[in-house]
Amino acid sequence: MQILSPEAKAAPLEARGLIKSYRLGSVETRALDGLDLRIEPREFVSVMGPSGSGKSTLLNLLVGLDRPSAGEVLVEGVPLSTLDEDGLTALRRTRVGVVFQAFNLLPGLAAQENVELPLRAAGASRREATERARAMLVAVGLGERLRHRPDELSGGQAQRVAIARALVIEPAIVVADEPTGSLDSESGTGVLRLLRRLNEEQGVAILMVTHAPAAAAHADRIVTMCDGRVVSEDRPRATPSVAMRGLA
Amino acid sequence: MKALRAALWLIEDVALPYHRRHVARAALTLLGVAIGCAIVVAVELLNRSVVGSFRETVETIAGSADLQVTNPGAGVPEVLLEAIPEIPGITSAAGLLQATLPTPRGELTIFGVDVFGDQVVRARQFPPEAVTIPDEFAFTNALDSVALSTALLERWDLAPEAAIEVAAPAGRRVLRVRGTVEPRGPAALYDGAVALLDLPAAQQLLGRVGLLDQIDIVLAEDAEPVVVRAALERVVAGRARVHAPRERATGLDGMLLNLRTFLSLVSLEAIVVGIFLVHHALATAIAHRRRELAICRAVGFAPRALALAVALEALAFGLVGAVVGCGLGVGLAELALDAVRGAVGAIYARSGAGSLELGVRQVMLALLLGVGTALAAAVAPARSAARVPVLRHLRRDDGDGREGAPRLRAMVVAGAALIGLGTAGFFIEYRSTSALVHLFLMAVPAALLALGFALIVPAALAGFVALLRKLVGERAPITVQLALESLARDPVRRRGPLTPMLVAFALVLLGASMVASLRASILGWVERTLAADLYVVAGPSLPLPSGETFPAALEARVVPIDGVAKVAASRLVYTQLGERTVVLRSLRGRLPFDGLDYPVREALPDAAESFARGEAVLVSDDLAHREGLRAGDTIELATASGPRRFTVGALVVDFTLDVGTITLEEATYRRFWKDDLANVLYVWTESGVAVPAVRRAIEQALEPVAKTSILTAGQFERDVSGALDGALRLTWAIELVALGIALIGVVNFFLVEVSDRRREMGLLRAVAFGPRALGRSLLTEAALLGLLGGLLGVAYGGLVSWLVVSRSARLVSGWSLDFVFPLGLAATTVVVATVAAVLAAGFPVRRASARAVAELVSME
Repeated sequence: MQILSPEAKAAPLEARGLIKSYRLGSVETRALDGLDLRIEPREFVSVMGPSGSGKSTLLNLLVGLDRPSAGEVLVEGVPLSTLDEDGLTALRRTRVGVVFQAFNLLPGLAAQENVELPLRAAGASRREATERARAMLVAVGLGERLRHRPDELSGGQAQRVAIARALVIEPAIVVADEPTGSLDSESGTGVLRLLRRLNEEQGVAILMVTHAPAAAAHADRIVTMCDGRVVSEDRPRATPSVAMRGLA
Repeated sequence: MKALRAALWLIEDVALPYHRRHVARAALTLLGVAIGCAIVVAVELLNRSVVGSFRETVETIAGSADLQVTNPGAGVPEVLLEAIPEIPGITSAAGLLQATLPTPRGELTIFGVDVFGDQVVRARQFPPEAVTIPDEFAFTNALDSVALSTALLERWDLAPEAAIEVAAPAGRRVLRVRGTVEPRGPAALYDGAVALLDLPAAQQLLGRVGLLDQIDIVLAEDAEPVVVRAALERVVAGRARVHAPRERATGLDGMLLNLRTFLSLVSLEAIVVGIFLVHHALATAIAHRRRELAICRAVGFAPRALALAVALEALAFGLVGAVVGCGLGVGLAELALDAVRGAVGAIYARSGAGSLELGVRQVMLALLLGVGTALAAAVAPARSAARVPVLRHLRRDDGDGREGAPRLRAMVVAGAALIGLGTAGFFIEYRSTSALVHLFLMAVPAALLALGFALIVPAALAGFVALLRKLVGERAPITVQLALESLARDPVRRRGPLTPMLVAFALVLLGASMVASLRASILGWVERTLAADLYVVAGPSLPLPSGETFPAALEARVVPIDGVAKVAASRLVYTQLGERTVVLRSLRGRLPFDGLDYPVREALPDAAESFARGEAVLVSDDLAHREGLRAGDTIELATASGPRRFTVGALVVDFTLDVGTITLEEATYRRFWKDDLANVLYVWTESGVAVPAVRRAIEQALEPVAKTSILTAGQFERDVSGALDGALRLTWAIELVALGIALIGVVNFFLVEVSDRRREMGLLRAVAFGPRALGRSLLTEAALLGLLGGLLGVAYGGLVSWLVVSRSARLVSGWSLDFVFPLGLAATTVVVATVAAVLAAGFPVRRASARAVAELVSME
């Protein structure tokens, strides 16, 4: 296993010429077709695109859950192709936080225990894991909900727990997959505000995949994909606060 | 260390809560491991107990003897007792005769010893202070004198001079109690049902004048055992065997080889059953927890931590199951001990009550098996846990995540190669007396075959579906077409319930085929060779070498009876062929060839004449196979008249006993073995006479002189059939368990399958299908899977059965069995598999069909 050694000036996340092909019978399909993408430190980027544009495949590759057919993904300058399975696992445990649309909290565990998960996976002591998870849940506004199980939380609260779980490892970047997709507009707004605040206060870079233009407008930059390529990049005219008013 | 810590946490916070929610399934898993371990522990305990108690019995009866001279069954010439004490280094030698006789109150074991003679050997067997004989003169002078154990005297409530009627080989006799023996040493054996007779009286009573069962020898303190033994062997000169008492138990160990191999095979089946149970439970648990595992992987748990957690979970099941299995094993052994000891005693050798003590060896064996079974079963689930496709289970849609197309062709090639390799494995020629070696050389090729079949299952499923599509085309209802579509979509995944089903059904067929082949071969042989009209036997049961006898002279009382055409006495005894204990049977004249029609495998041209002249013997095919004997070879047998060499005239099929049989001409046997007893009289009636009338006449003629039973050929066959069924009952019990496991596997699969496909079901409901149509489609899918599982089970079971019956049975026992495949059961298996799959799928399908569409679509 290789140890990840972040370079101070390296981008938290970079994709270079990513190609991902699948063979279905005799037909070869390219889900990603030479995609380039660079996320700068402290940057908040939204990725949009229609279904089948390759967003999910990109997500798989960026968090090291799949290997590209060609091209390279670099996390803080470290090419993922140089990492073995353990290295990739360590990457998700230490440098990349993931937030899903469906929250994906373990139903049998309380909010605090869910946030402790990645710390426990990294071998942290129970005491350290508990302290850090509590602090992170307080930071996302759930200090009163530490012992609540997922089915005792609202959708917005559950997603906050998921965000806390992604951030508790102090990652270089958080990759969020449709984080507001399962929420009503009010809760969605709350989650986007939280992500923005954490991005600004903690300096963590965020890559968010979304279908909603209003949610995407929260980002510093919007990348649009089609047929496995980046087809446009925009910087929203509206400030985040304006966008949030639009969402509400 | 980090992975271990993470794995322990996973167990504590993920696995344990899961098992708490599914207590019944966890209990079933534990039970699976426990049953597997219990049967192995029970077999081990029974084996140790039977052999151990036999050894203890031999040593108790031997008393202080350093060496023994024996000739099982055939007897040791008493004349040796005169020469043996003269050998330098021997302090004392004493003869002993032993037999168990029926009495109206139960069995009584008779010890015939020189009560007032040599006391060096006797001091440890029946010490003078333990024997009370008020009138020694009367005791020795009256041949009906007996000293009864005080325990039995009290139990049977007998007074001095009381009479005890015994059914002795020489006929009904009345013994008088003229002394007592305290229940110590041999007198404490057999629950105290022991009587002491003076040696000449015992010889008279048992019809063995001039013969002994054993001579016990005590060496001088300064004697060199090796030198004395060599001198003793010179004096005995092949008329018996010289050995230490302990070596006799080793002989029994060898005689019990087939029994042990059979019991071990049963244990192996139990272990396979256990592996399936654990595998099912873990695989189902992993399938249910896929989403949780995916979450763990996504937040940074290493694949090996997940795999380790599954392995540790299995380990816990294995350890707890093994501990429970130890307790269950002792219970099982307790239940079976009397039956097994009775069977071994009836066929091979009687022994005293054995104890069942769970030792470190059995506990270690159970732990090893429990842990091994659980870990073996955990391999695939652990792999599946480590490789869980993360995003597929964490996203609402499957997105772009695609799994590689299954390599059906590669799987078929690998499967065919393994099937070929497994089949070839059954053709390895070897000779071994180790049950473990036999098991290993049967289990490994069978496992390769199972693996091969498992690999071709997806291709078989794909082919099966393609065939059905071709057959039914578009004429089939949409529900059937949907079921076929679903099965065709992912044949690799659908093999889930098929592999355990095919193995479990194959186990059922293997057991049934073994039983059917064994029954057909033995009963066919019995029908062909036992061509007499009536059989006069000494006891109530079938004639066996260790069974009851009567004087061969009874033949003379039967010959003159009206309607009797021909009578032939036959004797069955154990004898030694080298180090092997085998059955020796006497048959008159050309009887094996003319009257009884023994199937001949190989023979010298003049085999029948040589046999009738007493120059040649017939050797059973199984014994010849194990000893590498051919017609024309020469063998040496220890007789009461010294060693005698005989030509092997023919190799014949003979299923008398699995230790192998040598058949010798009757008069020759009587002459060399000096034995006047018989186990059975073959009686042929004149044509046209009423057999029942002849039977009654024989009963009347023999009733006053001997206790006999007269069986017709039909009764004889029914007795053999009954004895076989009794011996094979255990196999059926294990097969039922195997069948149960297969069904549990099917239920588990459909529970997971339906739960996984709720979203798909919701979509189908949303577009067109009503709950009933959807349910019908899923049940059709289940029925087709069950049908294929049954068919594959029949194919695999048929191949393995043929290989085991035609190859392994020959290598283990030497017997050539006629292969009989239970076609009826095979057809039933296919039907049961289909119905079981439908029933198993019924509950989850009904539950899922009843849910609201919106609920199904939103469920993940």
